Amino acid sequence: MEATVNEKTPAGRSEPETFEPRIIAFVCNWCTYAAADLAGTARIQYPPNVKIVRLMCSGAIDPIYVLRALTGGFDGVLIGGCHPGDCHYQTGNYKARRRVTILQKILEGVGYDSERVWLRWISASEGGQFAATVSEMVESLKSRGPNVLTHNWNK
Amino acid sequence: MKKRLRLDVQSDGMDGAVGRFARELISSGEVDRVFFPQFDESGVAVYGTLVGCAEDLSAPASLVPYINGNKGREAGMGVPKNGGRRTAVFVRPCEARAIVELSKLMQAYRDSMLLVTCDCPGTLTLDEYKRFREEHPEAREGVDGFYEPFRRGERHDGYTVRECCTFCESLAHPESDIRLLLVGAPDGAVVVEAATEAGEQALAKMAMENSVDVDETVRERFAESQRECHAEMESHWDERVKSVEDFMELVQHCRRCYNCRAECPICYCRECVFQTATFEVSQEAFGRRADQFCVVKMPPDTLVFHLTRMNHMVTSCVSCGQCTEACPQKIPVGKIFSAVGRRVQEVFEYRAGADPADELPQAVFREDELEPR
Ligand code: SF4
Ligand code: SF4
Repeated sequence: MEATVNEKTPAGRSEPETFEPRIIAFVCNWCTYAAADLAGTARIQYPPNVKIVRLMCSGAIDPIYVLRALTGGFDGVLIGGCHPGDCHYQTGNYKARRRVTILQKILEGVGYDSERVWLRWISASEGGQFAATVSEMVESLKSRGPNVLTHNWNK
Repeated sequence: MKKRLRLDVQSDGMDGAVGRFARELISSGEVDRVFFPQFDESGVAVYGTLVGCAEDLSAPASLVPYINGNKGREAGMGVPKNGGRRTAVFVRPCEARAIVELSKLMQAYRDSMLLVTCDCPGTLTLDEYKRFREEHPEAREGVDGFYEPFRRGERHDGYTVRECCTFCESLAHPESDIRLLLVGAPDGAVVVEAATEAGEQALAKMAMENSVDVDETVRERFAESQRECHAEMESHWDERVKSVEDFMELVQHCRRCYNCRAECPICYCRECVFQTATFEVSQEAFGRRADQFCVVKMPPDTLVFHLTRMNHMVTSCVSCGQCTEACPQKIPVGKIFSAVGRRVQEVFEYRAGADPADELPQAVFREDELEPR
């Protein structure tokens, strides 16, 4: 199982001013994925820093995906699901919320910045919200700087 | 007032007295079997045993300060579902906590057990235990001596207990049916306390002196010192682990041998994801990683391994420290998992192993909780 960025990224080369965070977004097919699509067709501008992976439900997120992304070269992970009550499978988003909370607490417990992992509810009609969330996350990650794990080989 | 009986310590020592009590449970017909730690023929090695005939419980070792792994899992293996509390299980508090957690995972049946736990001052590493036995070839007087300061509510200084025992918070397990009280017990006695109705019933016909007292102030003093030691460990953790690099330093030298996982009573998966094709890295994939990151450590994914194990079981970590014992690289795995586990459990107001009625945080959810709403 590989969850790494495609470009070759030699260790520690990017200058802080030019730092462009890499985000991977795991999004639900029924809401956030459609929102991202809508943002595209409506030509809403948002930063190109995000790579999108479609899941059938936010509840299908496995913490291993997130950990693999964070050790595999991404600076942040966005997980997008349906608003509470709107899950296509009734309760997947609530389960995702527990799972992501546990993961974030573990990350905090081991001294890692849990703010690199975002869970957001974005419905199929909220294309603008998707674009805004990505922009916000890019800004937040820029202020946090590159992920320390990317070029630390002892991980 | 809970029913408390006096179990006299005779020439067979404390361990002998507890063994006698267990045999009595079988011969009086209160239970059919007992799960009990015993010495093997060498008189040194200790194993959990499932005993069907009272007379075969002949080398009792439930108080010897060494446990050969967390026997909660083994007790779970030997007690069938719907057993109607017909097996008495003699374990330490951390093992009882594991039983409670495993019951929620249907890998043990707590309701089939008459759970008996003792006050625990901590147990020794294998090396310390070997030293202890060299100094006390006769286990009986060694054991009774070992518990002497503990009975007065003090920590012993002659032997070093395992790291996780130094910050253990449970003097006795709250959810057991019967508890064997040692701290504050009168001289020459182990106090047998019925903590539940099932325990009460089991003790009803025992021919032992009734309503003995234990010194509650001594017990409270010891419990207080335990809480202090735990708080100290927590604050030490906060100071030690300020960044993920600090954490990586703690797990440095990890060989990813999986001993910690194998010895963990809570690691409940029959097949660990790390030993499946998911984490098999092909030669080609190693090459790609090396190209991408310029250098890749072998074995890889130390961090992903530990954090994933946490994701799977840290809400149920019972702080038994068996992972630490199992680690060939002397990584304080148990301390790490206990410290992180506590933080995660707090979010859900959950205490692993405490109350069988509390639902596993991973298994349930509420609609109006956590963020985002
Ligand atoms: S037992 Fe120790 S070396 Fe082996 S995987 Fe666990 S932490 Fe790593
Ligand atoms: S992680 Fe370690 S301390 Fe926690 S339950 Fe497993 S073996 Fe015991």
